[in-house]
Amino acid sequence: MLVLAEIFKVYNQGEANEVIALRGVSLSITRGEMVCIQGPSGSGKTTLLSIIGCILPPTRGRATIGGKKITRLPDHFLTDYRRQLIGFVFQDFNMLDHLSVLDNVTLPLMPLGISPKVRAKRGDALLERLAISHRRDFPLRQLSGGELQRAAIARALINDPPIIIADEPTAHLDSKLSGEVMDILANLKNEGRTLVVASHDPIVAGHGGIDRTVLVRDGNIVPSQGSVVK
Amino acid sequence: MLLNSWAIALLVSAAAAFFLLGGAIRTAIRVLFSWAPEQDTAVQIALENETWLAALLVRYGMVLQLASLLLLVLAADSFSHILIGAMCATGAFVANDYGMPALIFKLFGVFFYGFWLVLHRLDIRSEFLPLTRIKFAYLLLLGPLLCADITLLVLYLINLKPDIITSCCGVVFAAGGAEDGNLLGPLPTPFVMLLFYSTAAALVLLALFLQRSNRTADPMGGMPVANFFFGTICLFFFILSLVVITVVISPYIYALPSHRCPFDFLRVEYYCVGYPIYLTLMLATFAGISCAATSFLQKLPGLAIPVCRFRQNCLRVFLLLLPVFLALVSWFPINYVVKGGE
Amino acid sequence: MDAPYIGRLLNILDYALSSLRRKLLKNFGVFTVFSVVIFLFSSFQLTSRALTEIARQTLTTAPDITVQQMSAGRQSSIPLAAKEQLAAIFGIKKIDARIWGYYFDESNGANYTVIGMDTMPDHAPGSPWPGLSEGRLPTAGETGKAVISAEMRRQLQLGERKFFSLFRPDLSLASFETVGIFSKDSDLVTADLILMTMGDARNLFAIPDGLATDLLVQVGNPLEIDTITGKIRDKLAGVRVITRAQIQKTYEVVFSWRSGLGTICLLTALVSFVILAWDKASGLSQSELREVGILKILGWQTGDIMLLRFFESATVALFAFLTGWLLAWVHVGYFAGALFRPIFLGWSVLRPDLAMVPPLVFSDVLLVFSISVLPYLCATAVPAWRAAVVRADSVL
Repeated sequence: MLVLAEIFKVYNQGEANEVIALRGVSLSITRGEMVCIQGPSGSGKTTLLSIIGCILPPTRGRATIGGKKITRLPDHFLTDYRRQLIGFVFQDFNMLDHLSVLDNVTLPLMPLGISPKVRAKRGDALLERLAISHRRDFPLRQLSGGELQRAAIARALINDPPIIIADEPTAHLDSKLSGEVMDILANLKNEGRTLVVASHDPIVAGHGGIDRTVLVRDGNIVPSQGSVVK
Repeated sequence: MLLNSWAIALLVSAAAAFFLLGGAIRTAIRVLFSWAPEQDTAVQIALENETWLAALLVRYGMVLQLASLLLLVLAADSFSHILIGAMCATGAFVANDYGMPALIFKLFGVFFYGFWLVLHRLDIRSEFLPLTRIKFAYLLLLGPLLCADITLLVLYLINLKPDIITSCCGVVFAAGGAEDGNLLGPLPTPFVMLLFYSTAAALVLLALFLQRSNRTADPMGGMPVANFFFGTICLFFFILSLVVITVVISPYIYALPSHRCPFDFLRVEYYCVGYPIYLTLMLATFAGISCAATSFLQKLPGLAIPVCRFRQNCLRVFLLLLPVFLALVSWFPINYVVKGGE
Repeated sequence: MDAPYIGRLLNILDYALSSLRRKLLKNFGVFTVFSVVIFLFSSFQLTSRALTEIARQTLTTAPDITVQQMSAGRQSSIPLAAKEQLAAIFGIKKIDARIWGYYFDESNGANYTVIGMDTMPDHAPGSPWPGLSEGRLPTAGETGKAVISAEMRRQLQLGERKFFSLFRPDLSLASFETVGIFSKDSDLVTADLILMTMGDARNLFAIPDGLATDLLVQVGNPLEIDTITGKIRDKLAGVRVITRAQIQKTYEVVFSWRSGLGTICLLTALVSFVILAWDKASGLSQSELREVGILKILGWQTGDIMLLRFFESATVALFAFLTGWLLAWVHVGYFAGALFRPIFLGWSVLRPDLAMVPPLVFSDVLLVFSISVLPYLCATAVPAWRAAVVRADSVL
């Protein structure tokens, strides 16, 4: 599903403040796998997620995601692949406060030219599935953290992507809710989706759905723990 | 005559176009010097972002160019009320040597902006961005074109001098010699009309042929000769149509045998029939020439399918609009003949 | 990348409108200032259009050709004998002599136009002169009868009285009775006009017999006006021949020049507005940055965001345009362009109290549109782009 080989990422290349964030990362994740990525801040974890999530192009190296080559790709192609392949769940939810829950969930469909009716139908189906359809037309500030994260997962699923990337999905949740969110994510595995979860929360790392933990340090995957298969 | 609302509107849009294109050309120069698609440097990322700006600016520039073309024609129409001896917009355009060139530059400017947008549109369809250097080199050419356009416009406006009657000082007025509006000289009408309709027929046949042969994305571009002919004949037909509309068709629209003006029928009195006529003609010509001119781009990496699809769309637009144009134009003489000359 | 075109436009427009609603207060300033700028521009254009229209209507009663004697480059009296010389020209229907001049009223510092004619213009036979709202015209041979405008009546402080007096050059008084009032429709040219018989005018200005100020020529076939103009010029040495079309053009030139001058002044307003708009649009707040970042990470393209920004600016511009235009319409139509009238009609102490009905002309709309909305939209291009290239990874 996802193959990275010798990936380098250099920020501000050619400038004085050049930063090498990734130094030859190789990683491959198969379809239906749920991988947890761990690492201290500044380790290059976020950069790795960005490259897997088709947000940033790698500076060097080969990468295919969902069968698409993503190296040396103009930004609008990357965006297009991101739209087709990736669903995102963030630690601080990244929802737009001025929109209702449903509008937030269906936001990715807007530039695709999908009519409001179809958007609502698809959104409703997902809200139903994540058990928050009673919050459909509520403004966001009335939602609890757990509901927000469910809505965020619904949004990640709206384009039916094969890969879900979750960046610290449990950071703002208590342990009970964290477990619930992890259960939902782990369930997505059964639909054949690939999950990449970045977290240093032990609840995440210790969740039964995680197939493998990858430790990132100093811009590379730590070889000894490179792929701890549970 | 710079102190006139119309002149000021034209100058304001010229200034706006100047700034827009200036911004785009700044990007073009930077791209031509340091475009390096294989690198992930800060400069390259900034440049990639800037290409979006350039495209946006050119798109706005194109809208401005269209608006100012319309403004120029309407301005000339309004000037004709002020200029002694000018009965219609044609008179205002020929009032000095710069009027017609200014109009022609504006008209073709629209096409040149349009071609850039076609290049851009195709370029971003390929992940290799194979046309980026070409399109920005071409963008540099738009600079002098705009400068010439603005210069001609300013010269035209400055040299436009209405004779003024005032209540205190006497002026001896020149006799109001009405401009006939026939700039193109007398041509044998049946010959011109035969040429007009046979060219149109040839274009339709060629377009159908190209449509058939271009169904599949042929990486070799295919039919360079046919495409070249198609494009050239399109351009020829455009110019011929302008002549035919002016010399042959317009008197039928006005129902006045001596009134040959290609602008007056934009007025409400003639149901603004000029707008659909010119719009269909310009769009059809643009589609036709774009189709022909992009045929050789199919060879470029990643462009085979986008170019093929684009050309099919062009041909579809062409085959739709050309008959509409012909019907609009032919309606007036046919109506006249059928009704027996009212 | 190949999203349904219209659907995408509608969805992004939808989003733009909802985001405008949210930022109502922020956009209100731009909207107000822009409306005012457009109001000023369109008031100017509408006033000039309405005045041109009034001049055109009024001039339909003017003679086809006016003949004046020139001497040393200035106008002087024309001998009535010239009338007989012209009568021979084929195609001339009628020639009338006229005396006209200015009368300076010291008591209120106003300049009146005095016209003395024996045969009054009668374009519509059987009906009074189109420019009369009540009463009648003085007839040839009558003495001491005059037609004035309602404005003049106020100026002379006549009230309900009918009689007024003017000074002859030797300071003796000539007395007149008001027999008719000009209609308001022709105020542009009749506001300061006193119409009387030729004899009365001769008496008032002390012009010797056998002289007039100009000759008014009616032509049978309007197409022959230019030919006849030439013939008149050949027959009479040193005359100035003015056709109605030329007077019409002069009015248009004057109005177009004045409105152009006004537009130039207003351009300063436009420029400062464009700078304001640029400034408003370029400042990206933290929450806006976050919003764009989220949209981009969810798969919105740079082009989508630019389109969104365009829709926002275009909506504001369109509403401001409609508001400004409507206000200008009310200003010109109901308040007779009170703000700008002095600029257009500033040559006379008497301010004509015109009823202006500006016609709706497409080209006027386009003119004001292209002078206001297009520059504004151009000014928002760069800020729109700047917002659109916010990077998707900025929200991580």
